[in-house]
Parts: sequence; C-alpha cells; structure tokens
Amino acid sequence: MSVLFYGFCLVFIALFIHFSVWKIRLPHNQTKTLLGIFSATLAIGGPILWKYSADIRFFGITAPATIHEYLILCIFFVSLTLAYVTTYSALEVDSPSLVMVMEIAKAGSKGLDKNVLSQKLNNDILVIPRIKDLVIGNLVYLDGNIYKLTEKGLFIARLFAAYRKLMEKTEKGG
Amino acid sequence: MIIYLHTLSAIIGLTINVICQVCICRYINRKFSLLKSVYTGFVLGLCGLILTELYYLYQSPLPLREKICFILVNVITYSALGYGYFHFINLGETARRIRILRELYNSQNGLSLEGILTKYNAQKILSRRMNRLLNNNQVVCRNGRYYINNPTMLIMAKIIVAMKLIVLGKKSEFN
Repeated sequence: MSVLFYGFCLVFIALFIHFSVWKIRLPHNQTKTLLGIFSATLAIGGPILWKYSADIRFFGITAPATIHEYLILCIFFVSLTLAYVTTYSALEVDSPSLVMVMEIAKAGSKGLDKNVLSQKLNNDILVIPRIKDLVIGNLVYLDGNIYKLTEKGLFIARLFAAYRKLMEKTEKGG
Repeated sequence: MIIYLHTLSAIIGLTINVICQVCICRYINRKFSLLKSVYTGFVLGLCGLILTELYYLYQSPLPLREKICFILVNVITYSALGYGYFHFINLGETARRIRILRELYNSQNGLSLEGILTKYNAQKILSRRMNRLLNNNQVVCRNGRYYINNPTMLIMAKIIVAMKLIVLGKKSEFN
C-alpha cells in the first residue's frame, strides 16, 4: 500500500510543480523542463521518504521501509513519468491527422473540399515548425544554410533506424 | 529470488512484450498489422507479469492486502511502460520530427531547407495521413469532399484539445 500511495503522491507533486511552472511561463524547451521537474521530484522526494520513513504517516499509511520497496517505487514513478512525457508530446504540437479530422468535422454535412486542406495545412504549418523544434531541442544545427544532426540527433536517428531495420520496415513513415 | 522477480516483474513483462511484438512483426507480418502486433505483444507481456505475480502471491509471507497493492503497482507500471513502448513505435511510424531526423541521417552532408522539403513536405504528409484515415474508415470521400464516417478520431481530437486547454491554456500551438 505504501509504495502505491507514496508513488502516486510523488507523481501528483511533480504534476503540481509542472502546472504551476507552466502557469507562470511556458518553458522554451518544454520536454526537457518536464523531465527535469519529474527527475528532481524523485531525486528529492525519494531520499526524504527514506530518511523520515519512521515519522511519515498519512491516512494511516507509513512510508516505504525496505530497499526493494524503494526500487519498485522508482520503477513505478519513472514509468508514469515516461507515459506522461510521451502523452505531453501530443499536446505540445498539433497532430496533422487530428487537425484534418477537426477541419472535416467543422465542415459538417456539406463535407470538406479536397483542396481546402492542402491550402490550410502547408509547409509553414506542418514542416517548418518541426524543423525549428529540432533546432531548439539541440537535435539539429544550422551549418550555413545546411541542417545537420548534432550528436544527440544522430543518436535518436540511429535508434529509430535500427528499430525499423529490426522490424524490417521499408516504408518511410511520417 | 522471489523478491527480485517481483521487483522487476514489470520490466520482465515489458521485455516479453517487446520480444513477442518484434517476432510477430518479423515472422508473422502477413497476418498481423503493426497495431495488432502491439496489442498481442502487450497481452503476452501482461500474461508474463501475471504469472510472476501469481508465483509471488503464493510464496510471499506478506498479508493479502499488501500483496494485492504490490501487484496493482506492477500492473500500473507495466501498463505505463507498454503505453510508452506503443508511443515509441508510433513515433517511428508517424512523427514528423523523427522523419526529418531520418532524412538528415540518410543524407551524407546534411540538407538545406529546400532539400528537406523536396523529400518530405506538407503534400506528402496530407496524402499519407488522409490515406490512413480513409483506410481505417474514419473518413469517407464522396464527390471530392471529405466527411466524418467514424467519430473515434474526432472524439480523440476533442479530448486532446481539451487537455491542451487545461495544460497549455490554448487550443493550438499556433494560437
């Protein structure tokens, strides 16, 4: 019970900090800041729980006491963090498929003309902001007018290339 | 031994999930779509997790209430890891940023903006995604006009817009 309760407590504390920071100012690199908040919550909250485990008691539930309980708590917290961060990436940017569905729904019973979508959703909306994101995220840098991968970008590109090779995926995707 | 098995059971479940999903995709590809392989992998990983947890339930001296809570923690952890893995696959398949990274990776000396847009542009994105929507019967096309056929994606879109409003305070990244 203690791992479940205090694990959720740490997640809620991290979410509270996240919402508070976002209300004050939207960070420049949102994913990095989000990961920083969640990591700091675990890095500070975990040792506090460990040090004061004998004194901490909420709703009759004491803090975790053994190392294996803390290990489970860490895995629990990290998995929920990853799930939230991946979901957040869907909030951060507008998914073209969802925008398309919303536009078609807006047209209602008249339907949406095929050409309207391509007029509304052009390179300035769909591609160029994503290239800017890659530069902001330090995955890509500009060398003159040529975009090149940074070490971090190279690592991520290799990771996905290797995974697609493993899955024998030939389609380009995107 | 049992304590380590129990501690790492969500990771063990995820490992089974990934191995099964990759094997299904590589060797039974004709029968399974990518999405079905993800679901099947998840269910098989969950079976692995449940077997480990049942062994723990039988062996551990802890009270039943405590054991059930630990199992619940591991099931939630496994579900979150499985969800993360699904997103990882989805990123490789549909994310624009990953596709641009892959285009840059495949070019030896990098690409200019024009070079990127030649290989990957709005027209290609719209065409690929519209095909997906039409193939999944989310949208239908009649006389050159698109209509919503199945509201599932629309509901998802509305949920995401609501979440955007709550978290970011705006409906779109361009507001």
